[in-house]
Amino acid sequence: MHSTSEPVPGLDRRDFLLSTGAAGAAILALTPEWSFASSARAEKIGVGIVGVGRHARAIMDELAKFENVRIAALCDVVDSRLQAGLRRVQGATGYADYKEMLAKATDVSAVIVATPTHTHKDIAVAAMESGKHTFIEAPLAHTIDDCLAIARAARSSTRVVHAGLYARSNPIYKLARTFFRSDSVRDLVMMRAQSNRKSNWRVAVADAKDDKALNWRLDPEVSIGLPGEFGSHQIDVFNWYLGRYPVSVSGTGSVRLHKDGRTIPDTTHATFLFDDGARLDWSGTLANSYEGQYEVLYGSNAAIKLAWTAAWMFKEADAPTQGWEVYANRQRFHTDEGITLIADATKLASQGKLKEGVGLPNPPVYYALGDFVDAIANAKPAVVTADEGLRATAISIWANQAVLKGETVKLDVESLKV
Amino acid sequence: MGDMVHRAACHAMGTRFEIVLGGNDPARLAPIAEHVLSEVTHWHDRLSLFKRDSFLSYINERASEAPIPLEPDLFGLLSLCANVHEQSGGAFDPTVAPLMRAHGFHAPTPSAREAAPAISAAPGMGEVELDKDARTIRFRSRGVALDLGSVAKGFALDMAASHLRAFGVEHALVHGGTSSIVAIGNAPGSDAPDGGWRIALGPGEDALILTLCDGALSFSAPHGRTVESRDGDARLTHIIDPRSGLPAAADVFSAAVASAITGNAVDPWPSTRCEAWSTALVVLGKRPESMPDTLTSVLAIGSRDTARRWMVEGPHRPYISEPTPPKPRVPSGPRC
Repeated sequence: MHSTSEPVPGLDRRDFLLSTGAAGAAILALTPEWSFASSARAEKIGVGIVGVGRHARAIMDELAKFENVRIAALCDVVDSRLQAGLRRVQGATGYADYKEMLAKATDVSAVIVATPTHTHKDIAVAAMESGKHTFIEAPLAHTIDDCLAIARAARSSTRVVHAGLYARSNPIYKLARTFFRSDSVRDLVMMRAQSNRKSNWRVAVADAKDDKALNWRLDPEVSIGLPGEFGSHQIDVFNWYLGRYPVSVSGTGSVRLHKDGRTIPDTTHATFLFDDGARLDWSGTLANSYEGQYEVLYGSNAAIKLAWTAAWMFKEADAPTQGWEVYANRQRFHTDEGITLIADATKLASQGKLKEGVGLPNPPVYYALGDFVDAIANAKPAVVTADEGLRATAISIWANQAVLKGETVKLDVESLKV
Repeated sequence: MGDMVHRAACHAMGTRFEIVLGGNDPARLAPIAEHVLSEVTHWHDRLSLFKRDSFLSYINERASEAPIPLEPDLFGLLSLCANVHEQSGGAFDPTVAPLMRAHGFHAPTPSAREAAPAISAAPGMGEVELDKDARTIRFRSRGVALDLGSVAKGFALDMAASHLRAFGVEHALVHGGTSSIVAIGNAPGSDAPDGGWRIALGPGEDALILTLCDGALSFSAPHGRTVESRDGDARLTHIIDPRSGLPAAADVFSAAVASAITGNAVDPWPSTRCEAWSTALVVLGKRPESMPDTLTSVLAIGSRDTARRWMVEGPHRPYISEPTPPKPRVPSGPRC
């Protein structure tokens, strides 16, 4: 059985356990970077957003929190979306063509690509070749060739190129990973993840001519289905936590609810196997929202459940006790009790407000954008590289192929030569 | 218009939102319904006082330190709140969060020693600064906290209605927990004189039947949510009089406010306005002169256990029916 006791940079297991010996010390030791306010620089970073749909609305909302960012340009081929976006952002210039934006918007130094997945490659590569810092939403692209093209352009770029895999920027996920990598779960026995929501997935269109452009998720020519659109973010959690990749995937899928002529399954299941026999079961559905989206890592000492805005550790009765747990906040889940993993616990504990600290102070997208902005402002390397975006997306594309074909697909991550 | 209806629902803002669409093309209506409900959940995520990552929580935590930039819709909402606050003489105030917490409606409940000064020194709307040119909000002092629970449902419905209009929907009703309602066009198969959507105000035979056709309505009742007082002798109602810091004491069983529009360039937020005013009326106990004459008010005067009388004022025709004469009620005595 593979143990999870891999070293964490700057913190070996012995040091970690020593630091957790005193009550509250683990919390003190593990407080993550919490705010990006300190990354402000005198000159504001001019950002251009390509793709002004609903997700871009969340991006705009969160970028407004950064004092060192100015949204200088918006671009969308659907005029109603572009106009709605321009109404929200004071002083931004609108473009219908990203090439025109890249050529004319001289005040844009960073580009965020938030368009449909199958359009990422052309836009992202053009942005990088124009010398822009580039944030590319995940999944990176709809084909492995496109992912490779993006990763190659990123290698050639001297700017920050950030793949939008949100978990790696999420303070709670970073904290939980530290526990995981420090052997708190002991022997990893299995993994599970789901992405459940009650959704039609068909976008309402005011003008029929926009239907093909807006309903790309249901277009079998370009869609990578639920494993791609939802699964890529979750698969990356396991890539990141384990530091290795699955070697095969098998899957099934069908249209269980939305029988409106679509062929993209609304309910899917994929099983990923690792070289040591460990298994990750992932499922996604658009027919039921129960328990939403989460990932669980089961170990012989504890299970860690990650749910994007919160995380818990469920310890086995025979697991060794660490002092800090006595003071930790706990939540009841039927017959189990989870220790809440609180990201800014030090500050909250000192204020007697530990219970108020459950959950993130900002949505996950804030932290991903924060890492991007921080890397630009302080000339740091990207927190999430295009290479990691390539690997997570490629695995999810292969998983979608397994779901559509109902067969086992070999995952050869090593073959992804950038 | 076809008689088919498409229904969908979601949970948001502590209640259930439901949308009913009329039309002949279910394949078109289903994604529109989902789009509209996702707009509702979007505003739930943005405006919840109880979500740590909501934008409202961000404002409450940061606005005393620096001005916070607002998107135009949110700035519009807060400007409306300031407007109703002024028109109602302070009977409506979105900065009641400290008061709600002091009275035990929000966790964590403070001790009696902490609560008393919190009630007497609650800062109020006067400490909120809205900069129209910069489109920002700032709190002039620490301790100010917005609680938009009395307008958020109405605002979500206004936003829902704007999306429905953009999609060209001609017949729709959306409600949040049945207490806030917006209706577009008339109802499929309606037998009401104006073809509107029939809405009963209150339970049983005493209900006043309204019909809404292109309009908004909001209903507030102090007994809708209560907590036990600190001495255990009374139930405190959730509508706080911001002027006194105490639960509303007027002899109002319920207040409803209706508007004859569903949002336009002149007033994009009629449902929000109705919701703010229905709260203010519970506090005031009567319709003030300063209330916009575009709004109809329906007050049920009396308590749960006494006879009630309806007071309908404002331009209620044609979208409100004549009130049913109230029936005398026999006091039921103490409840066990």
